[in-house]
Amino acid sequence: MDAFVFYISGVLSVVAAALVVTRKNPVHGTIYLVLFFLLVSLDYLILRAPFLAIIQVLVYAGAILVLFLFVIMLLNLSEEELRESTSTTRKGFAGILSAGLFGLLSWGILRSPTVRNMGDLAAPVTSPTLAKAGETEAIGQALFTTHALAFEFSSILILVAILGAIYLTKKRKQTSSAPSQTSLTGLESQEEAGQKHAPADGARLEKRLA
Amino acid sequence: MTWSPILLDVIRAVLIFAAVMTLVPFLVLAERRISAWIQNRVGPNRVGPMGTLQPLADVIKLVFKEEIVPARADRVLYSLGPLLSFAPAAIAFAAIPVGRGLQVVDMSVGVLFVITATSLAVYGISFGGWASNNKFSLLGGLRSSAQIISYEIAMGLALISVIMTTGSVSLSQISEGQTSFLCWNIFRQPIAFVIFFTAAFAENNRLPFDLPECESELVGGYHTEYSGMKFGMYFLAEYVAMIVMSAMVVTLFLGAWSPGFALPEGLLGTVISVGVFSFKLFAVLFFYIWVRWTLPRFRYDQLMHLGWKSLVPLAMANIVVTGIVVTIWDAVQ
Amino acid sequence: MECTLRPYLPIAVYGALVLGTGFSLTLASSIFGPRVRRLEKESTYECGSLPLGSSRERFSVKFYLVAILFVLFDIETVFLVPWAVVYRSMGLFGLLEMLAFMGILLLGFVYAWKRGGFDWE
Repeated sequence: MDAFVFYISGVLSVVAAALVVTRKNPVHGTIYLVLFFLLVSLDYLILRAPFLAIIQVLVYAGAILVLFLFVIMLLNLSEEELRESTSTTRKGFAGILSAGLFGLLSWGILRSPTVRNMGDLAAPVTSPTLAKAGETEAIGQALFTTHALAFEFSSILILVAILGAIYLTKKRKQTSSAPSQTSLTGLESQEEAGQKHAPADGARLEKRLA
Repeated sequence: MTWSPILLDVIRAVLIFAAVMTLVPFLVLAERRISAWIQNRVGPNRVGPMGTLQPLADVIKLVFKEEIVPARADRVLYSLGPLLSFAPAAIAFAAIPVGRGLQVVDMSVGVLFVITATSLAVYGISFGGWASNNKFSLLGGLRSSAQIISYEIAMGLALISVIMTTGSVSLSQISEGQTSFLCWNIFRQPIAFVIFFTAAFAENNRLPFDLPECESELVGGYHTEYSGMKFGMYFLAEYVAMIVMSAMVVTLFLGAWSPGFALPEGLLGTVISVGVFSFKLFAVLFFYIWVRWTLPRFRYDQLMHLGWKSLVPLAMANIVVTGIVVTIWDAVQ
Repeated sequence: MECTLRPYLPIAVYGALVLGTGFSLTLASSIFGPRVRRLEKESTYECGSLPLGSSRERFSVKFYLVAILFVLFDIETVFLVPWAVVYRSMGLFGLLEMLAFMGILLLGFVYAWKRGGFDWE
């Protein structure tokens, strides 16, 4: 039964992934990507990892893809702009590159000792530890003891991402020659705010819609 | 493989779904009657006794309305929008225990399941807004999405402190941990309760946070171009999401199906637990409606500031304090 | 027969019910409703006045910033979930681990706040 579900979801996820890259309209691509993530989370369920299955949807479909969607809508290409086709050389280059990546990954996966020594996956799980290995408790135990350092480093990764995002989207406020005077800084920031509003009055009106 | 447990599962799923779908029309009616009462009006009282058949009349009207699809709309996405809004909200209810041992499926990651399903509702709203090819719809959809994701952070962090006190992500275990009255999470995590409830209002786009459809600025928000039953589905999705969030508030903070003392074993206890759960659910839903007709709407910048500058830091502080208190408590014991 | 997905069968049934209801309601009005096409009716609705400009316009980068901050803090929340389940069994070490994690993220939060990342002008 599991195998049956796996083959169906496998075929469907490949189809969904293919549709993601072939859609001309990126908003349509997003829908198929959501579908793809849902199907992949089904694979995690088959592998007895409910926590990962739900995180797959929560983080990828519920968060990262929302960011993608916002970027797509931020650019908001009109139908005319979407119709412009990319050159064949570029397409060919992308094709060769992805075929190469596919070959490399397949070779690596098939050669890996973990995959070779996996044995019969359909066999029933007898050990209670293994049956619970995909649950939240087991993941927590592993993450906060064995992999504690990696976990702490991930916070630095997130920190860097926050700094980057803010740096890119928020303009640095001009620092004055006398930064120590706090009473002046209050005034300055007000002046700056005034300047920020003044020059782009026309653009501002359009922006207000957003 | 025997068939009877499978049959039982199917019956339970059908019953719970039917219960939610029956609750929606009555909730709509309740909202209209209560709002009329609050504003000293009469409210719908013509169709059926005391207006009880009004929602049915509304549905029939919506179904037989002409459906106007804007000429320049993206037809497929336009039709998919309401469905993508309704389906995740309805599916989220599957993990919530409506009585002792009575839920569609007892998932070990139940809390996360509900949060995930709710977060997917962003797609219905933003796709609907985009596909209508109307700038008010698009802006309504985007505002709504930005609002939902902002409050999701506060909601998630409030949930963490609840998980910390109960030590489980399974909704059935969280319910069972609140059997005695003093163990209700509202007493153990009052700050998390306030944060979660506030965020729930924002997630459901309800007043005082109903900015996505604030008429004075955006016509009708993301569903400006929708008519007929497709509009009805956005409406439906909103009320289903409201039921889901209220059920979550009851399950996480108000002692779930427990009346505050131990229930008798067997069928009688189960029946009582369903009754208790429904009573609490109706109380929370009444509160929702009461708030809507009492408070004025926030401004969009106030909304964002409340989410990011008040609720998120408060929820983080709550986690840290909970962690320190529990660790000291454990060390003393 | 051993089947990992057996516990999730009810949710498949429930999901099928939801989707079935959703599809039939989506189609309901187009089947039962009348359909009289008029150019005015199908044009973009802007409170009765003629539509101005295209709706495929670019909009403010503020939304992008909200989305990226959401992704980052969402990941933080996800990391906190397994910790919240097991931290009591790890005593002081577990608490310190999380305080370090939150402390580093708090730096990012404070920076974003100071630079006006949460301001919505």
